[in-house]
Amino acid sequence: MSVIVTEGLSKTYHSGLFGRQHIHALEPTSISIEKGEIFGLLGPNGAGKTTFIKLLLGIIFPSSGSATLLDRPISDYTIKEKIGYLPENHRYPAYLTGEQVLSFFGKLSGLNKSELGPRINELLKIVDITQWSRTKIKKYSKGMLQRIGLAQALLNDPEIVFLDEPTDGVDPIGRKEIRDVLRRIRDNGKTVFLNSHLLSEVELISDRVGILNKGVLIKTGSIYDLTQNPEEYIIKTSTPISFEIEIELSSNSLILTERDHEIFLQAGDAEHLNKAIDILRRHGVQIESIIPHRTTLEESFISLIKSELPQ
Amino acid sequence: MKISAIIIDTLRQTISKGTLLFYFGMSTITILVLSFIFQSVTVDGTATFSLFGNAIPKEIAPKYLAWFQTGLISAGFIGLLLFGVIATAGVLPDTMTRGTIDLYLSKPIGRPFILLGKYLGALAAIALNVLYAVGGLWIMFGMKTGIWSAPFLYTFVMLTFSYAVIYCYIILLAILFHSSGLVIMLSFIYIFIFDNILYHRQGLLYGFIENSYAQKVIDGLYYALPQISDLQSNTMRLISGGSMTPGPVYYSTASGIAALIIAIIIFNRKDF
Repeated sequence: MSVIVTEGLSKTYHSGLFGRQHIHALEPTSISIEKGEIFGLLGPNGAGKTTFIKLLLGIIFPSSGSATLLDRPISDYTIKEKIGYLPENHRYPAYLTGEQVLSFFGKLSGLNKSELGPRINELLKIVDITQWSRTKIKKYSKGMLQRIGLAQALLNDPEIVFLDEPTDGVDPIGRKEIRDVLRRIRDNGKTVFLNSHLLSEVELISDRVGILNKGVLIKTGSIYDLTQNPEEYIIKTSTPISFEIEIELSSNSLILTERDHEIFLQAGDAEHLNKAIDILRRHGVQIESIIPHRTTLEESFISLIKSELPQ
Repeated sequence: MKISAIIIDTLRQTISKGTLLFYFGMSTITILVLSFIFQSVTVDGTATFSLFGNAIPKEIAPKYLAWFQTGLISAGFIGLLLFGVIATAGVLPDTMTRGTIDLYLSKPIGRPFILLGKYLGALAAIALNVLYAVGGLWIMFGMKTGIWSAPFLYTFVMLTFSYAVIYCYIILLAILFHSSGLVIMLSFIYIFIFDNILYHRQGLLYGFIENSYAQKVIDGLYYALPQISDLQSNTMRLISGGSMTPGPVYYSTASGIAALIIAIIIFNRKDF
């Protein structure tokens, strides 16, 4: 079941004299995000990631296209009763304590007084900030602000949580805790939409990712799809590869590099891979394992972004 | 519940600024100073009051007090109004900063209600301070003179009403310019200069602007914009036992409502 659906959703800003200058913050984008998944949206600065979230939440209005959240149009603000949001660079009222911030935004989320108290206590424990709950927000560190921000986003037990750079300024232990919280949310059937610059972070947690560049969604897929390189294999052998074998593999268009009993083989397809195995076995080489070579999400991301650059 | 949460938060926001506490402090000082100037005395066995040490005969005491109160409001009306503007001009620009407005707009509350909550919160903050200042003065005058002049309490109504009208424009300007400094400056220019010129337009302008169309445009502006000087005059008339002319109240109400509706329409369509 798709909980976030966009069809040709776009945003163009007009600036300059009489608005004649057009800035395409988001080109028409169609995407569908399923219930119970963690979706990571990646992109360089200014790619349109925050614009996309703001459009879905009605903070800005689309220039064209449409979108639905939980099967209801984004223009229907009552749908936000089931949505949580942690904005990037959020600013909470400095005159409030952490607890008061949660109480205020909880009331805006539609929670009543009897629900608020227990929910706030539960969330303060989850984000591990109970001991600071009665301290004014202006005294909070960046990491503490992120924690209270996450609690704020989860106040109404949302079906979809939008998080814009949730681990920004958080120490490694805090990041791990936030990841655990997000996994728990996902395991409860909720959907998490994550914007992050931290690719390793996204790789660790996301079920699917989308890559946005200059307002264009250039790729979506699972982490597995994006990091798999179907043409490359790592063949681990128990003995070193002789020069003679190397020459034979190369002469069969099997491009390889060799390092410490490991052959990085660019085989093209299964037929070429089998040919390489035949050559190795014919020379009596003991094969220990054959693993498809995976790139990191960061490598895939950079390669995709570079391929989009004008030559 | 949602709108009341915004109203209460706006009250906290204005108190946190310190300007309202200054307003509160100034009101307290004024009440204390006047309580030293006014003293209860007995003249020929009759209770009355003294002003700067001079006993006021009982027969003219109510009139004398009304005259003093009118003078006080003549001097203080605009000052109290401007303090209110300074104390609350930042309410909306602060809310509209990036990272804050996103939080408000991501909640299940319509944009007009956010604006109305902010408006009512700021209005409540000023109303409380005006109530304290006017109520405190009224109690002090009553205790010191023995004259409980009810018309003086109209000052609370008229001042709060004037602020309510002006704040509609402050909301509109804040949405257009996002700057509390600019909003304060424009409010001061309007209240000190523009409103006064429009109020005295016949004596000041029509002597050298003889074109009837131009005069109609100026009249139109006078009726379309808040009539602060007229509201002040009305307050003074009420304190001194006279009756008020309802026109400025009606025109100012319509003007404020129109400004607030325009503000809501713009806010409703604005990208943040």
